[in-house]
Amino acid sequence: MTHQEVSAQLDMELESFFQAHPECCHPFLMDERQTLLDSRADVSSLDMNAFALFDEILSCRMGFNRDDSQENKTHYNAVCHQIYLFFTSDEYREEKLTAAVVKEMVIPMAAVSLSETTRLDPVLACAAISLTLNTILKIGVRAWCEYYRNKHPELKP
Amino acid sequence: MTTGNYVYDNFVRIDCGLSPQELWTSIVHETAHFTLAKQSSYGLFCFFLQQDMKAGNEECEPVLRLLDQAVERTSECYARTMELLLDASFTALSPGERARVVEERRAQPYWSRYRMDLLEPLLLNPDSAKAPVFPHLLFILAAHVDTRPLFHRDVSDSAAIRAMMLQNPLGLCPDRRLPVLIQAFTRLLDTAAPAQITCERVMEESGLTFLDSGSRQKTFLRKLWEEGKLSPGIRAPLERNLAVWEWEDICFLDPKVVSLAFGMSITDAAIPYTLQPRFSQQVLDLPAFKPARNVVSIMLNAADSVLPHSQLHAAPSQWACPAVLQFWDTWNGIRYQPALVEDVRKLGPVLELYQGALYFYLDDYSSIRKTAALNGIPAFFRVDLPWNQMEDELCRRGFRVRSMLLQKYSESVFFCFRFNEAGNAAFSMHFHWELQKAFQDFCVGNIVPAASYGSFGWKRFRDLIAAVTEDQNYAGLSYSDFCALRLL
Repeated sequence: MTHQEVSAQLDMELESFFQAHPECCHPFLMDERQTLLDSRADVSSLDMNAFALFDEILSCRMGFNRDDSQENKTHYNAVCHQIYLFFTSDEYREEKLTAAVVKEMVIPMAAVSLSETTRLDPVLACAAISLTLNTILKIGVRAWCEYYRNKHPELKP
Repeated sequence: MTTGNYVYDNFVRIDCGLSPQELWTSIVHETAHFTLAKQSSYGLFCFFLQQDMKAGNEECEPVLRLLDQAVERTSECYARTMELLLDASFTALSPGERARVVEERRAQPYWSRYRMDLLEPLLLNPDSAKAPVFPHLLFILAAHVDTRPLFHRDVSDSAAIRAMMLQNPLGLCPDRRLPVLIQAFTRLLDTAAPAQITCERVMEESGLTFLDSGSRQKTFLRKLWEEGKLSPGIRAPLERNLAVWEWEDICFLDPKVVSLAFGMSITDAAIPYTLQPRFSQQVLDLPAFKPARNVVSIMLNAADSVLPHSQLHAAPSQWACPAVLQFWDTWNGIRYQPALVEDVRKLGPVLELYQGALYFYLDDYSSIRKTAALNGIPAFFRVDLPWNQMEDELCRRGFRVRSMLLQKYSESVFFCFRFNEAGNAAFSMHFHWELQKAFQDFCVGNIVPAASYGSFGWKRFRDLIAAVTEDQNYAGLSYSDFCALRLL
């Protein structure tokens, strides 16, 4: 299964999630994400868009209270770190990446951690992580890992 | 922490507990949202929807939320830019020191959330602010879209409006237009003298479409109204607003008026608000009922049918108690929360059982006419408006102020109780700079200072004030969501 196929499957699941939870979906940010992807924008722009959407999902609230944004940034960084560790681990082999691996390993692992820290509904946590992971797959795992490593020079190559 | 908000009103709300420096920053920030709303065609459209919602048309809410999502980043970038550029210490910094400040701000999550990175080169370039288009007009241009297609659509159909905006994001979505405008302005800064970079040049360079640059707000809206193509949901609020629109018919892109909010100074437009709980945490020397923040039930029944733990809170007092009350008719098993005016009117005679001071809390003073049978129980209601708009609004509601009691709450904020002849009270909060206007009212002599309000002063009302001001429901939810009726 290629990255694109895994990504397409995650896309479908995210769409179902947004249909069930329209309050979590920022229509213009999703549209912007697609535009960025189509234009092959730099990874930094996609990363910012991914965080904005992550923030949106976790802040399903009335109005535009952004009081939780600082915390969400911390959670987003933690999720990215876990994903980075997975993709750079010895166990990971790119050719073995399947939707099942993603859905049964990466997403639950990060979701449990996020849900425990935030006491958020695990469904929301899973969606937020799916979206982040899917953005990474669309960027390309190798390119994203390189970007992430550059952002965090303390990480070993 | 929330320090202020703006929800398409004629004013901005600022948390009343801020220090003077925080206060100024918050006012600058929120007034930027206000300016963008009142100065752009897109913002005006949102303004009308909000007014319509306040008038009871909740069908507009999804569309307003949608529109707000499409302008949120532009509005936040504008507000944060204004915070920096109106800060004299930032503008006086050398380029290197500016870079250090920007670097510090970059660590804030909002910075990336709202794509402030796109503006960094402009914030670091001292030439930017020499261009007449920056900062105000650059952001206003993003929201200066041709809103006619929006005005013509059914505003209860958010899906259709969303589809229309997504089909033409560069024409209708301010957040998608802003990066294009920033790029255009940056290109012009590289090739032209800053003073020569006008709105028209940026518009041309960007390649975007705009409402006519010379459009005047009132003329534009009147023309729309006369064309007769408006959706019914828009026609009524537009008509109402045109009828009461007393301010000048200003040009959307007039550089002289962009920093003003509907003809007001930015301090005129700010009112204190309680966005963080504080009143109920104060230790005062009056009896305090707990738990549930001094909410007390009056049991309209024999004491033996009341649960023991409730009796603590149910005993009618022999003296005036500072308590917000709710009715619970245990005899009939009816809980009047929210109680309706009609419910209380029926119960009028029973209210006399309560020996304490009774006050009738109303969301809207206009409804006092329905409460004539309440045995003279005075009404208490809250008005959130800047000082300059207060008198007209109270007159409109049929409340003629006879006397006024001012009470300092903090260094920044004072409370105002306005009384009419019947002893009904309108409560409002104001910033200290409005005091001068209050004294002017006294000097004119139409309003006299009220005597101290009983032996307790305003603190007697602290729980009622807490109930009507400690509104945790951000984003424009009315305090009436607490309860339709409360009594002291």
